[in-house]
Amino acid sequence: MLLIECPHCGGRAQTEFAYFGEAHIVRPEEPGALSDAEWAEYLFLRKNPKGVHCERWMHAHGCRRFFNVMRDTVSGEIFGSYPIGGEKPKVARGKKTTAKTETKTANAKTEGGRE
Amino acid sequence: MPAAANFPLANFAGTGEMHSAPARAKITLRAKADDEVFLSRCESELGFALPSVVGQSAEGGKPPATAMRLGPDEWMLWSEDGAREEWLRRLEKAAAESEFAAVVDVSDYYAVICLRGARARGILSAGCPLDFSAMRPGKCAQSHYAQAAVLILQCGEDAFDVQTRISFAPYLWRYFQTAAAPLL
Amino acid sequence: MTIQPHRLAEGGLVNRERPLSFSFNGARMLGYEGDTVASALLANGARIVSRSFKYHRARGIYGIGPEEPNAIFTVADAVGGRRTPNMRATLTPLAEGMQIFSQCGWPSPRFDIGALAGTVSRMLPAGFYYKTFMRPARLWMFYEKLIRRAASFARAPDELDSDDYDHRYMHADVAIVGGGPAGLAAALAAAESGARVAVMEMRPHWGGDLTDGANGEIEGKPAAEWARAVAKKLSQTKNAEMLLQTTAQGYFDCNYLTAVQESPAPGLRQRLLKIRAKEVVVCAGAIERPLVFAGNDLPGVMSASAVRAYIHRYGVLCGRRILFLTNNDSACEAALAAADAGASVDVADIRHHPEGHWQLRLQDRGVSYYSGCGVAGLLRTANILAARLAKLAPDASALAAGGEFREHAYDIVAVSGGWTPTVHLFSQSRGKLKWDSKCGAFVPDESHCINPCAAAGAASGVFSLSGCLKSGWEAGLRAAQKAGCENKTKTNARDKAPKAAAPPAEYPPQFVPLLPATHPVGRGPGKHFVDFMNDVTAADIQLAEREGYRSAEHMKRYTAAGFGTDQGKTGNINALVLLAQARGISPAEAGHTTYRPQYTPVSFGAVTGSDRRELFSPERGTPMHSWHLAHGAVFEDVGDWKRPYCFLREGEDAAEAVRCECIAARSGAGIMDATTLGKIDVQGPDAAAFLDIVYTNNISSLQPGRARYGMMLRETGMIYDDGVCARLGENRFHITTSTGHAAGVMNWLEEWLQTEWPNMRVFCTSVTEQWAVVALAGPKAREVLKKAGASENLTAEDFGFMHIREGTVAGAPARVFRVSFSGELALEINVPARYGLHIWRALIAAGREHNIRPYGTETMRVLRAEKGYIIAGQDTDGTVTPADMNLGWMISKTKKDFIGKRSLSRPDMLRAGRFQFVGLLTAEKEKPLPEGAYLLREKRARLPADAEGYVTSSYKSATMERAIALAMVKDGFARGGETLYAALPNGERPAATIADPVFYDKEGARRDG
Repeated sequence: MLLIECPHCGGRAQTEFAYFGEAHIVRPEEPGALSDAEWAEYLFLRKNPKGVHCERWMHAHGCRRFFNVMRDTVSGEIFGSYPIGGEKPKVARGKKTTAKTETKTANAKTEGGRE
Repeated sequence: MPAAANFPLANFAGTGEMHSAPARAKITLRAKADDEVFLSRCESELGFALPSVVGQSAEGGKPPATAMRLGPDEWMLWSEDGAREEWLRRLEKAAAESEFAAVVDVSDYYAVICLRGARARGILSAGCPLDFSAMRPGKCAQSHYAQAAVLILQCGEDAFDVQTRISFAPYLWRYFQTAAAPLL
Repeated sequence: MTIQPHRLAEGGLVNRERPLSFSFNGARMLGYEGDTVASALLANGARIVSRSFKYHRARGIYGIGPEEPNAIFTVADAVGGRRTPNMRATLTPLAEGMQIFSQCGWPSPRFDIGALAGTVSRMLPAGFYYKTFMRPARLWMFYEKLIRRAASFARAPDELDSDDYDHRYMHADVAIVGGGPAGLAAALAAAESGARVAVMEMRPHWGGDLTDGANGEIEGKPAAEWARAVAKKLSQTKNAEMLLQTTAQGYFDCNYLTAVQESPAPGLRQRLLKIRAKEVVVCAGAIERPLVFAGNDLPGVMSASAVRAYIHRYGVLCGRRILFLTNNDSACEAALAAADAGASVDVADIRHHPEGHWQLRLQDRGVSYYSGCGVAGLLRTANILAARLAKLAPDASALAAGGEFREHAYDIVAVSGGWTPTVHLFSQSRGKLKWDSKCGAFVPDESHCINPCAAAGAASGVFSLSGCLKSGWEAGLRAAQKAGCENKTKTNARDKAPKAAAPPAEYPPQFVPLLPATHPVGRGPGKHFVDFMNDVTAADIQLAEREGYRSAEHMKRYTAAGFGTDQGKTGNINALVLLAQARGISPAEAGHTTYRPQYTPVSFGAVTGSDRRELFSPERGTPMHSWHLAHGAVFEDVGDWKRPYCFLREGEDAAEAVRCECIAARSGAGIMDATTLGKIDVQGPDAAAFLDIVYTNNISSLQPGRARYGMMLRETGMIYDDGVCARLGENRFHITTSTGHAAGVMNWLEEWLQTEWPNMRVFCTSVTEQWAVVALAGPKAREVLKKAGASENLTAEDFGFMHIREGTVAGAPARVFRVSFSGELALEINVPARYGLHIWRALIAAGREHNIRPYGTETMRVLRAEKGYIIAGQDTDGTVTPADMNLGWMISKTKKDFIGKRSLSRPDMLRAGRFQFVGLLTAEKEKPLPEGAYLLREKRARLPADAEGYVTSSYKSATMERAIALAMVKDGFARGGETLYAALPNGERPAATIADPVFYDKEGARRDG
């Protein structure tokens, strides 16, 4: 059961989330200008990599925000979460220094919301 | 006209340790995190500032209210049921000043079950994956308990208020009872 | 007959004050509290306890823990005789009145007719079932029954499991698997560093191997005493959770472990622990593996360390005349223990000149020590094992030239082939393993870890007591540190590891794939068994390799080695070593198979926990549910909701109730609970623009106070959901969804808003259960509403179709929509949920004079079908477009873009031959077609044939006084009047004519009352 870092709520169990497939799928600006093949690519073709995958998750039993996760589909390692439109984390393999548990990562009293 | 006071759990006899919260006003507030107009208007209407950190609560106001930040653009306000219309009026006034804020009455959408005492954490850990030793009074979190979506506010040392949709309340109640039984 | 002839006069952790009586295959026996079924059987001298899976070989108890391959029984409780099959005797605590039954062997394990299989064993090598029973294919079902009968599958219980189970989530900084010396040392180090520690030990007492007779002192105390003291100290420490009788079963992503705890609380049989740990230390010990020699599976052959442990743990001496056959020194310790307990002991050691501490001690004891000797054959007569001791060549690959033999008789042959570190959990954590030639097995390779996991003690290949303590301590410290816990002990904490005396000098072990016999492997009477549970022999592994199954994974599957519920705990390494030998490569190169959860078999009860009976899934009811229950509602499941299907009155069956409900709704008034439909509040300056994108039709042109039927497509152009979209104000909408799609549509909207158009100023808030909804329909709807007491604006005639008004109903604040799914004059009355039951009752009371009837989902479906209205998900299946449903008018002609629009112009959407929505009128008016029936062009068409279409909805219509149906038919719009034939499973082909799906009130006059 994955431990997923929600950007707003911290590390939570996978059962709180819903999976929404490959991340960074952008709806074409002018669908009418696309050929059928180009449109089909947007609809159906996905990278499906054996390895590092950027994917979209939603905190369904939680803040209900969508966000992105970078995960290795073979080893199951999660390299980090980042908000929609945010910067991708770095891929750092090998033995992790420590796992996180289902606690909030920010005990700091930071002001303002985290987007 | 009659409306069940502790609907939907009116038929479930509680104890000090586990009981249905008396009817409570529940209002969802939506606004962008940087909507200073709305946030400051709210603060003057409420008498206290909305919490700025997700998972935090704040209290205050007349009549007393508790506000919880559930997400970057979402808060939930709890107060006594009798104050519901007053709070809606005041908050809608605040929302009207902002270009883009929403106030939605969800008072009847959810029920709240109160867990009090030494068994509370054990009951919660039977069905909810949160780490309760890391929670503190004043903190809140959304998660699931078995198959029900819940909002949990820790309101005291061993005191938790658990909110769920009314149609899930009987299931949650029964599950709590089952989880409590071995924890003698 | 002596009671418990093999029980020693004293010793063991059993409680001799509490004798327990039990039976084994009908024979009454006695044991003690603290016994397992296995130890009690051994105390009573049980020899043949089961028969093997394939060859039906007689078998005895082999081991003492989860590695036990033979002693699998059906256990019946004293209480109610409830049977549980497939219980491992070595892990089952003895209880008063228990009845234990062997599962294989007929009529009994001792005299088993199935043993005839053994006589034809030459024809039943590994993989025989891939080569036999192939033809004729139609007889396979018959063969399968015979094979299943012959194989020793236990009988599944008939009764429901009436025990209770539950689950618990746990969180820890450091989770430690194993409560032996390494595990306790790790726990101590981590707890003293301030870490939150959880320690899991599968046995009912702490200490692991320390309670099995490991002599030696720790910190000046006898080892077992040290273990008890540490465990007690930790139990009193606030940040340590000490879990006995808890077996860690699986290691999953992100350091998530599952464990099963036995008897966690009165009334609970088992608890499944779901543990998230920052760091995990695996101190799961090691399991002794057998030596592979001819006849090594006979009853009476046991693991040497088990023989020793039975003495110390249970006070049971398994035999009087014991041969210890070994390739390493640990069996010598066991031999001494047996001798001390009063057995007559011989040792056969394949090593030629072992000269160490243990050999001297055995010599002093007067034990016969045969070095350079193996067992070349073993035969059994009754309870006697005749062992042929033979001199071996120096590398043990063959018998010594000159062939010196001795024949000795024993009752027990205790075997040690070395120790296999228990790497299962480490491997499941996706850590890699490496071959360690020192212990002749795989050990964890901590330089290749994915999850934060470490191994210590015997699980990491360290076998000395002092080594285990040190490695456990250091691992515990490191884990606490990495978990971010302050090291509260003083500097140089590594020095503070509990100390034990250095072990005596040991003579190194000698590992060989198997011991030579008097005949070559695969010939001769004695078989070299490798996997006892599945009767896999060394010959089978060599056969697999010859036939091309050369990888570890293929060998495993072809021979079934490691497939049993012991998961090859005794046999896997031996199998891999033999495979490597056959291939001429090293075991490191041969590799190993994949370790998977569970570590030992886990009951379905533990997995289920509390999620059974009324808690299996949430039963959701509306605020009016209690009324429905009290008034004859028959419920149907719509997702988690219980919705009334119909309401039975006195003397009615469901069909009659539906018929009456339909008539009432069209002639007077009907009332339905529509609360379950999804409702979403959509607010913001861009709300209209957003809804324009998600619906096919034009929403921004909707006036406040008006509603529109809206349709949502997927981006592929297929119909996803439909509902009513109502505009409450310039920037505020109330939209509805189907019951089943309430959550899905909410997610759909949010995904677009958050990931595609985050700059749109819209907030969507679910209000599904905030509002209770009562649909009041029928020509008398207004009169009923008036009688119940409603604000004037709601009963006025100018409350137009598709208008929304706010007012009061029976004193409750209401938001009312004049929409109709039935085709009659109808009002959907939304009130805050607390008033739902009140207005329901008030409207029914008010409607009595008009013979109002509550109606359920079936009547709702019939009424809308009469009007040709679709139900998304019933008439559509995700593959049809609005045009297919004759709803092309819902597609805006002016909107530049909306979700799904582009797909509607794909060639496949425009081609001929698409399924189109039509009505069907059966030739026989009284007989409705079954929903889902396929439609054929020809009445006598031979199957398989192309379907012209299929029936999506079908009812007996009271209004039309005949059966009606809705269907999807290829090019249906152009085929009105044509007759098609439904292909029914019973062979009938009823005829039906394609018709207009709007059967009733085509002009729509009824909807205004």
